[in-house]
Amino acid sequence: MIPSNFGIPELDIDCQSDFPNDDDQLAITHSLEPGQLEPQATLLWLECGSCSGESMAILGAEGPGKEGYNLLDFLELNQVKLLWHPSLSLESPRQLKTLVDLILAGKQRLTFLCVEGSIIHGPNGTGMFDTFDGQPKKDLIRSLCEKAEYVLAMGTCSSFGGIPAATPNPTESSGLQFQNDRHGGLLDREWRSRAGLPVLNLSGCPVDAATMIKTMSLLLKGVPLELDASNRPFTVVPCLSDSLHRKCRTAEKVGYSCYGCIGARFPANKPLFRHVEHVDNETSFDLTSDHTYINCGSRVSQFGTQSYG
Amino acid sequence: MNRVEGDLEIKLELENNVVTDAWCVGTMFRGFEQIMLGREPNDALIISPRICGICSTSQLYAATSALEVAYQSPVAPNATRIRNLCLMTESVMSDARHTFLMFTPDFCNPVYRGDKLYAQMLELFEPPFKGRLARETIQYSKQILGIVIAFGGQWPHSTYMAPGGVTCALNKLKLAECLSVIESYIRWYEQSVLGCSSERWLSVDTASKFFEWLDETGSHSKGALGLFARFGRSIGLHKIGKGSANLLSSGSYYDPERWRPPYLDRSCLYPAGFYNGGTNQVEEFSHEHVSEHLRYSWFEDHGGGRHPWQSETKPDYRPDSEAYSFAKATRYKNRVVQLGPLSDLVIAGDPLITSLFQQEGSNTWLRQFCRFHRPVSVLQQMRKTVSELIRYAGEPTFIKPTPVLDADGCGFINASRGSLGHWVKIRRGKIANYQVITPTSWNASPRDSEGRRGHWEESFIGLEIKDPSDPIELCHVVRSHDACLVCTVHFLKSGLKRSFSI
Repeated sequence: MIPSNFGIPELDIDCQSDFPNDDDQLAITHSLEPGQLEPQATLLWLECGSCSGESMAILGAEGPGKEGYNLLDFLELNQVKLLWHPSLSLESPRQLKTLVDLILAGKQRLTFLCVEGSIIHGPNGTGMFDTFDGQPKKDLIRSLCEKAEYVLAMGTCSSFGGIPAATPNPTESSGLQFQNDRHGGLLDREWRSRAGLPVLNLSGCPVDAATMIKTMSLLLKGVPLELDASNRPFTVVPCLSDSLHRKCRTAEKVGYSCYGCIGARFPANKPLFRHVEHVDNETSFDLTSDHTYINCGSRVSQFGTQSYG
Repeated sequence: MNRVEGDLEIKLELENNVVTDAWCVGTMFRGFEQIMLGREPNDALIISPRICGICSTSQLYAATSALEVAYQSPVAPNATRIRNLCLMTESVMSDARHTFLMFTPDFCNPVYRGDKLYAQMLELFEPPFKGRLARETIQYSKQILGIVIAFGGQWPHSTYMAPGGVTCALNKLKLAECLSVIESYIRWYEQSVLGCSSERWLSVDTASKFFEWLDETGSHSKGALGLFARFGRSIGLHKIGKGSANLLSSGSYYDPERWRPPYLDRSCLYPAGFYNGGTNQVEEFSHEHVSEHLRYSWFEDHGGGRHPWQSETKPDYRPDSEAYSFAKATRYKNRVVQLGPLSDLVIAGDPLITSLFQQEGSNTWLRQFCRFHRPVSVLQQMRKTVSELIRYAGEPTFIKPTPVLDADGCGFINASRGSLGHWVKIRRGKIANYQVITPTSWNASPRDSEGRRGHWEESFIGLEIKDPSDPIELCHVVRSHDACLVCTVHFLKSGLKRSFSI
């Protein structure tokens, strides 16, 4: 019996949401004129230490009843050209290589560079645990970042390192511009994309399609995106937040931070998964009651039956 | 020879445009097994779904099952029903997405421009998302995933299973909505994919009946399945990509009433087994016959094959040695095997697939054909499972387990790409060893201690590649293996699309 897993959890020091209050937010306006982005914005999607969760999400897994919010609709609606996506594109690797060379030479416009998965630096800082064209993938990403108007970290892994960066971080993973909750990672704190923005951290595990697509649509429209202290645009909201409580309330209930939003803080000495049991009915886990579990990144189901009370 | 984007490189040796040797190189290490060490056993329920965003339900299920076996704690029958339902959903979704977003777009390659079916290929399958089937697949696969979301709150990376059952509510309204999603998917599948009713399709139970069915009406021959079958055979897909003659399946969908401690009776809807390609007999499945070889892998080599409970994952990147991959070489009874829907259906004795297999053996066309065929019976089973859940809605979905401080466990789940196994050793209440073997790590394995090629490597041998600058034949063979490299925990991932060159 492991009481820590099944007893009522003690409140944890970490239990407050890491989402800063509104006054912590800094507004960064980007410098490109909106008109410059039309009509042929482009999108390049690359995967590093990834599970393809964001790719799957953006293909549209929001469930029945929800229309829109998939990559296809976004591309069509906004006339964005998909340059390449690892599981959707037809171009051969040779063509991809050519495409990358064109971008690097400044001959192909790159509006959105979407990166999914942690940036792998191992073994021993070489990056050879994840290679492209025989070279570390991290180096490719680094040079493409310089050419992109916007760099979007799709999901917690590319934002902060995510589960791959959990102790003992065997792959030496980081996020694009963060290492867990600290600045750094692949790019330093001052780094800015061509539009004058840092890497936009769309964290979540996976981040849902609506957040990814809303963010890109707003950028195309030239709407200034407020970023919080972790460089998350205001489009990224914690699970189960509402207009009054901009916090993940699951975290409060179980006394544990929701890692999908805050990045890879995986203390090896604390359980990630806890139950709060209902006193009246020990064997049932009814999410409409006080039973709860950490299920980060989740949205209230479209069937409307799940809520944490 | 050369290089790729993606996490798998296939290196081929060509002589007069015929493949004479092949190496599958996993170019990525992800380290999930090391992240597990020293943690609470239940942490596996959070961490392991993140191995793969495509089959995260299977990962979660295998992790949960490994703990249940370790604790020898019972699982509520209703929980097995819910788990099965979600796993079936993922299988149906994955079969459609793989087929219509990955496999059939290759039929639109300009090399086939002159073919009389080419216009129809474009109409149905043209990438990206232009073909009718591609669009419909996105729409319907998204809809059916609502079932997993109903129970798991999100997809991928749901965490709603725990040793003993599931943590989600069961109510009749939710089940009624699941049922309507299933009915809607079945209607789409019958109209767009099969061109006939499910009942009619399931009456096609031999190879010859299938070919009669194909010519019977225009709706059969011009449906997505009919077009795939005709075009695929016209370009000879049924003659290439044989690979290993040995098939392995750990069985799919546990019987809710019989799946309980000591977990020795593996009663499954699709039974487990090992099809011995030498004797053509199906032998009993036991995880004890699984071993991992590391001689050609960039991991510290313990020499020979080791059972996963004894195996370790310590990266040892040696670019200048004979090792060439971050995948391990997994073997069963010291043999190379293939896993996936073909293996699952042949071992389960599916009449149509068995008949085609007996006639033509393992091949590229048949492997893909299985992904058209399998959802039909799985959808019927999903309907049945929901009815059972409605009938037993008042029964528990969770039986509180008593965790054991020192125990070994293993969990096997058939993911859409084949059997997935998790092995866990718990010592003093913490994870002391964790090994994950995914279907792709079996299929795309490098050579083993005895130098024998893995199943994929073997499937390329003898393949004729007409134009090495556009190796379309190779594309078809590779795709029929449905690489879920995301899934190869050691530590490859997808991105295989066009991710090889010669």
